[in-house]
Amino acid sequence: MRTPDPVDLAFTLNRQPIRIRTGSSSRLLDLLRDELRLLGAKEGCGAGDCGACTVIVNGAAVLSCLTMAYQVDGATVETVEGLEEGGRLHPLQECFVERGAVQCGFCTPGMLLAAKAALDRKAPLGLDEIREALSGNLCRCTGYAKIAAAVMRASASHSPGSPVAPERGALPSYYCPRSLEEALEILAQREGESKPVAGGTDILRSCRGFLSDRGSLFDISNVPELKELEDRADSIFVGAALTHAEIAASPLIRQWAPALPSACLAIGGPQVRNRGTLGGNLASASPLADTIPALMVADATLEIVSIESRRTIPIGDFFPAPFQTGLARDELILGVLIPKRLGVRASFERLSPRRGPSWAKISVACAVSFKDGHPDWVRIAMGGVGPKVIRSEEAEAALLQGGYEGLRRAREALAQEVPPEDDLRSTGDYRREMTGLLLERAVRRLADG
Amino acid sequence: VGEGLQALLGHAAAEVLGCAPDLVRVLPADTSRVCDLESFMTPVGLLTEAVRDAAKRVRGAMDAVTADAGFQWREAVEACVRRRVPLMSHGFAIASESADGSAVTTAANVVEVEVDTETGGVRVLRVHSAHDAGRVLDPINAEGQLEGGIVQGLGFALLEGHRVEEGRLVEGDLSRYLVPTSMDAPEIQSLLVEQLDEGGHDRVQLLGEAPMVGVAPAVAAAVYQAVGVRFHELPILPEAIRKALRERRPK
Repeated sequence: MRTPDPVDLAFTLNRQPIRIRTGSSSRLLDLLRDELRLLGAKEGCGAGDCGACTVIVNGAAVLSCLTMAYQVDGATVETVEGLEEGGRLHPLQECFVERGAVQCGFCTPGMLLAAKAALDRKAPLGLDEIREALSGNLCRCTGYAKIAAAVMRASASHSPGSPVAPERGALPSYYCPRSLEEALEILAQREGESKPVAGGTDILRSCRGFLSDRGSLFDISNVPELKELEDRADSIFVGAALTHAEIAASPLIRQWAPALPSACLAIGGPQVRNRGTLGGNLASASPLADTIPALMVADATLEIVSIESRRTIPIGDFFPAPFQTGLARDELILGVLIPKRLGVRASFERLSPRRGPSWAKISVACAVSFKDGHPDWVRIAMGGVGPKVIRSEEAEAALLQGGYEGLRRAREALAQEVPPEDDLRSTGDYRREMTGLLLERAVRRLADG
Repeated sequence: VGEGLQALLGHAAAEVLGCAPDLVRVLPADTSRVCDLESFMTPVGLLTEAVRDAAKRVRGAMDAVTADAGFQWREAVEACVRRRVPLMSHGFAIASESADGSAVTTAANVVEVEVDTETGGVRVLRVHSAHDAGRVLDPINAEGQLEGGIVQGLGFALLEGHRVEEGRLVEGDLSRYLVPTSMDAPEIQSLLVEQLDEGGHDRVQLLGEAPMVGVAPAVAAAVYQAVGVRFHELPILPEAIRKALRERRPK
């Protein structure tokens, strides 16, 4: 086991510049609570499901339990302790008090910061937008009504504070490479011992509690080559470190891979989408990863690099088994290539156990292009149904025939592919029935344009 | 000890003392400091009554000092301290023989649901919940207790299954044990029906648990009205609704 190295960080915390030394295995939450004694951010679940540890980093709500401390080097961090200014509560806090939005208080700091990040971006917000902005923060005692009402009230007169210029620290480049070459060298030199972390929303979840695992991570979220979004002649390139929120907001991606932004919006709550990346979703190789079916129906290809080589692999060939990828230990996913298909339409349909963040019971992605009103190219994939994401060429062929009969046969073909087993999220029977329904809903949506 | 009791006792004291409620600190109940109250079901009215009794004595001692001077809390306390008047008291409340001693809460819940018969998904649009609340000392807090209880009740009704396999909870973390989020919580219309003092005792009661109880039955009744199937097991999951609908209308 590697002992954590000391790392020296500099960042802006609640409008004040700060320099501090911490351990290379510390999460942002550990730094705030254990070293800076700022106890506002709470550790509820340590896995990104409750939002009690929410803080604001560079204007975006993030989960401090799923962010490494060194990832805020050079960033601007806001915690609940910084909301108050000159002995006066922030207007949001005033509204929380006035409206009775606080009961036991455990979720309150996270709620305040999730609300502030949303309002800093856009104010005023409607009630639905507020409920969406707070959907990554669980509360067990208020029923959310008074919290939403308090944010609504604050929303009317919210003014974002003036931004503070961040300063950068003296972080060793080992933990935070600034170029692709540096990152690949770290991987090559410490083969097998180092793992890249970008958004952290998956990898930090799976090594929760394991200091040794966290100590072997290094941050690739600042590698510019991984953040590229490029419009090429016959394809688009989507960098692996682009976040779900960035992908969801991109008109270019919406044009050429319309199912992908919808899939990204289905992932987590705002905090997870603000940090979680496309590359991370693929590298975690979960059969529940929402981006996989969306990329499958876009005929996407992964671009994979190491210090010595560069190769591409179709997404369908990338996952040899659940939670396994075809990545060698010194390789990195550089990004995803999506071929341009003129007039492509695509839809991502998902059944979730609740409206807020949750794993899908089942999802179906469908992409179609039309010629003279008839489909001339079809892709269908479904996720969440078993050990892997399934593309059904039989269903595609049936749908290509068009008409009601084609749809009926496509529904049947898809249902045939659903594993019969029940699991903790749903039953085989239910999924077999729903897969056809989701396909039909997708097709109707696509036909309507 | 939950259910807002601390806040309630603080409010009762503040009301009699004439000070702001946040100046009152309620110490946690400790069995080494109080006599045996026999049962947890002691009507809360007796507790607030005892608090009021103690507060009245303190207030009486203060009034004797401040006489007809305008009652400013801080100055009055300072005056008492200067004149060495102790502001300290015990209060008592004894259940009358005639009162039955129980505080029964009556409530009515109306739930509006929308069922997607194709997926079996249930969406709760609105909940109307009326509660006999006794005398309401802290309306915002009372409403909050109602709203919180209702959303917990909805969780029990529609989401929160827990299965045990080989001694382990299957839904063992918050990604599997799903509680309602802000997007799942419906619009809530709550109504506190005040019942004023009766039988010589404070009609004061707690509101923390009661609001949860009626929600699931109301959801089940609403689903029955929508799709004509009775469900006798919670949570009522889309899988169960689809299964029931399939079996009822064979193709």
